[in-house]
Amino acid sequence: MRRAGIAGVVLALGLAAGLGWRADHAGAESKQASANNSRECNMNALEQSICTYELILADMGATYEATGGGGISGIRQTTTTSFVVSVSQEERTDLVTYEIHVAKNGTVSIAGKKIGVESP
Amino acid sequence: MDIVGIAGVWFNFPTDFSMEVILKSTIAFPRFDAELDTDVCSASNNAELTLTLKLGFTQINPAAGAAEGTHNDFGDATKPARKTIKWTATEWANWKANFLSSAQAYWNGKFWLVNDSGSFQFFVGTQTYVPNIYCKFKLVGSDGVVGNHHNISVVRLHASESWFGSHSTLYDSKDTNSVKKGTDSAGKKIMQQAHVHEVGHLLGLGHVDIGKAHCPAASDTNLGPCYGVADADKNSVMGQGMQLRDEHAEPWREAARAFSLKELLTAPAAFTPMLPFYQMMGALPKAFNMFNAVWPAKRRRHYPRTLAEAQAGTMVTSFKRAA
Repeated sequence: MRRAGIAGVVLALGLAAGLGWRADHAGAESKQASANNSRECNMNALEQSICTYELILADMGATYEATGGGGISGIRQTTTTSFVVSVSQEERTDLVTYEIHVAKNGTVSIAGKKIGVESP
Repeated sequence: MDIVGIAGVWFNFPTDFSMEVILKSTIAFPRFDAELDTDVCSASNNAELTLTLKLGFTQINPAAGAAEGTHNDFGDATKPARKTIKWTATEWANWKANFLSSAQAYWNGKFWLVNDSGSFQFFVGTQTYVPNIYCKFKLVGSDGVVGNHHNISVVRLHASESWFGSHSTLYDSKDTNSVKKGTDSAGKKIMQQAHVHEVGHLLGLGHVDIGKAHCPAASDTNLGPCYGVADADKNSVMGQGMQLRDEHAEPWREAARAFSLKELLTAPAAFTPMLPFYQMMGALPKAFNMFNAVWPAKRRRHYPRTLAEAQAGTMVTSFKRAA
């Protein structure tokens, strides 16, 4: 099995990029994320990591409610299966930590999610 | 004014005890200055409690005198940089004036505190009145960092920027704009002007859901759920919206309690203030308990009460007495 993940990758997404993604993909992706909470990612490592990020972004689009602020400012992989989404808000940066499960067949799913914050 | 005597201050008592009349009292708190004015008291006018917040503003301009530059969210070099431009004297003056006037207008004159302590009693003719407190707010801004309660730095955002990461002492030029902060359960936008929320913090108010299970007071109270989970809480000015709540009068209540205590502690042992006088005479209404007074906040005018009305707990929300 080829495991998902790109160590040390920081995916910086500006507000404009985030909004664009929402406009183009959020609806369909959100439904998929909320319906399945998983994706088939049995590909090479790069494709599988992209698939993982898309799964996370789809879940953010479907479940993250504080839609004002500055949008997603980064997604950082902190362990092989952990990803932290940073969302810029007034007074704070919201940190949404995803725990991803990678099945032997390459399917990735959200095993857990935790809300945190970083205050200036 | 028909006041013969002012409880809680020196007064001219009919029995010829010569005393000084002091109608305004001030207390300096770490976060603001407070002034209680009982000179305005009458049968129809309450005492006025004004909290004054002195803010010092400092420009943040692009480096080396450049016309344009960048500044990072929260002033943190690890956060995204936003394009900024140099302040002009006119823009700076306009921004400060707008900030001060709009934030002051938002917080000024919105609360009345019901006097359940019996403090500050006064007379009109032979009638004894118990004034409530009208809560006023004054925001004073100046350039520089000396003599202020809080100092605030301000970046001027480039026209292409729609957002900057602000906090209670670092603002941007667009923080006075109304922007979408979230959505309610029906998908309706929740809008907020960031600066009125931040002034709430400067007055000492915390986020709306602090103390609830999803926002423990001992944790970082900037956590997302602290800004409200239920629609009503999200819409609070100390959540994501612009709605005032009774609990937002807490800074004034804090000051009212202090003035009430000051009245008690500064009273001469003999005849003033009136509250101890009444206590000595055994005439203090049992409804009053200065030490446990709550000073409940209301968002509509509550007129001064006669002693009997106050003792009975009657609320006077329309003025029908003969002047």
